[in-house]
Amino acid sequence: MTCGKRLLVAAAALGLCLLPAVADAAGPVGEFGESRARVRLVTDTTEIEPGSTSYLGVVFEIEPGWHIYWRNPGGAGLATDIQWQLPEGFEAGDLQWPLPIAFTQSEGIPGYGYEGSVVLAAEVRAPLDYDAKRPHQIRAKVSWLACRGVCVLGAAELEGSLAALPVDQEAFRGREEDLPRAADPGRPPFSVTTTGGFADGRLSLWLHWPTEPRLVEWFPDPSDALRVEEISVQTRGDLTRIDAVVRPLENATGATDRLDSLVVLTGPEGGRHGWELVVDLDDENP
Amino acid sequence: MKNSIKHTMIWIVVLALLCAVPATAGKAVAVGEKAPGFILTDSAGEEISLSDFEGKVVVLEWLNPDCPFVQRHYKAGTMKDLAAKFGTQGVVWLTINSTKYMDAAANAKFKASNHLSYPILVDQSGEVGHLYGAMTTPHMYVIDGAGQLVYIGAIDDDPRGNKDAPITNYVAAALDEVLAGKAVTTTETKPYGCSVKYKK
Repeated sequence: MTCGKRLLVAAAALGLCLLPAVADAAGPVGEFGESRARVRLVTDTTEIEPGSTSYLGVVFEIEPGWHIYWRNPGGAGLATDIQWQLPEGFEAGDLQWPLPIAFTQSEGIPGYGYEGSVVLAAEVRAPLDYDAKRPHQIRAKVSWLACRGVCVLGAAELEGSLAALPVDQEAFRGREEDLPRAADPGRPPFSVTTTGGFADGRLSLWLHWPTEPRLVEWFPDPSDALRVEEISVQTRGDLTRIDAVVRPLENATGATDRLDSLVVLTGPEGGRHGWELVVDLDDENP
Repeated sequence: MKNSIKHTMIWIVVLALLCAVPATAGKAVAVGEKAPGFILTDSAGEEISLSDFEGKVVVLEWLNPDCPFVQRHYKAGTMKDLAAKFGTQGVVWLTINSTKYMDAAANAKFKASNHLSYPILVDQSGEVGHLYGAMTTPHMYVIDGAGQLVYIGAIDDDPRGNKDAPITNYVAAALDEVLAGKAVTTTETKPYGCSVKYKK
């Protein structure tokens, strides 16, 4: 090999070494595209009548190994977002978030989100003067952050005529089971005792279950006014202890007297069930 | 008798859970506290200590060039423009990269390609990142002339980069107030961005 060829080989080898780490970590761009997730707009029915309700949803199909984020992304990340643009008179309810999973984003940084596939949907009510003969265009501006060690931002504008949207019963099948039960009507199968609070900066929740649970997880809701960190969930027998450091942000402007959260139980068969849990942080009753 | 055994068992479980104090990652710094000192080497191999800038207002910016939030702000010139604007008023801008896989060469490359006037400190061990509790890139800290932390959090109030309303840059606001000798109004916000890619 001549000196010049050796230099070329060395330069090529060096070039390979200098390839950005992000390319290696992210892996090649495949069928899910650079944003690492495919999205599509679906509904549960196109049979709309005046005042009737239906569901509009965005199906996220996430590249294996990657995740997107729940409404509280955890210590870092970005909540997935859908902004609906509906025809005049239509009203969309809050986005409904299926039970998230927990993962570690990096040492000491928790993350909450979804892997595989998820449907984020909202209930939509048609106006009382709905006229099926008129065109009704639906638009959804969707944005998400997908991560697998490295992160990529994704965005899409999905659009379709209400009468011609794909009806995807499969996307909505079993949906009720995937959603958390509301705090009151879904009276949870556990009793709660709260200790600690703002005074010592540490909050402890004790959940007492009627039978020994297989796995219990806890997900605090996003808050502009509170910091919830150093979360630990331990279950022994029929007792679960949830610890967290909870404190108001300096100069917080939002509500600091309550913390919305989600308790998720994995049953003996592996099925997951969730309940909303409001924690009263009032100083008088921490 | 049976009841007595049952109660004993319950108390054993309660005591076991009480004793199992969760491991904590160490207390992160807080607004109003003295900024902890550190010494790091920058991308050019020069040792830089926070104490080198005693008496000066210092901004710490956590960075990872692979993070899309950082890329957006560098494309827009957010950090560079702030560093230049406030640099003329004596503010020191230090960027810290705690990404486990980014060595001095990787940081030097980013600094050169972005024509940065301020140093990038290499923290591959994550020691300083953990010391400050840096969670995201970017994650911003403002230290006043007395060495106290006066702002911790996001760079601005536009995580998605698509806000229609006027954007509030929290670091600029904090610096304006500090330099005017006023108390900082917004001292803490929730940072946004990619997680800091710490070494395990």
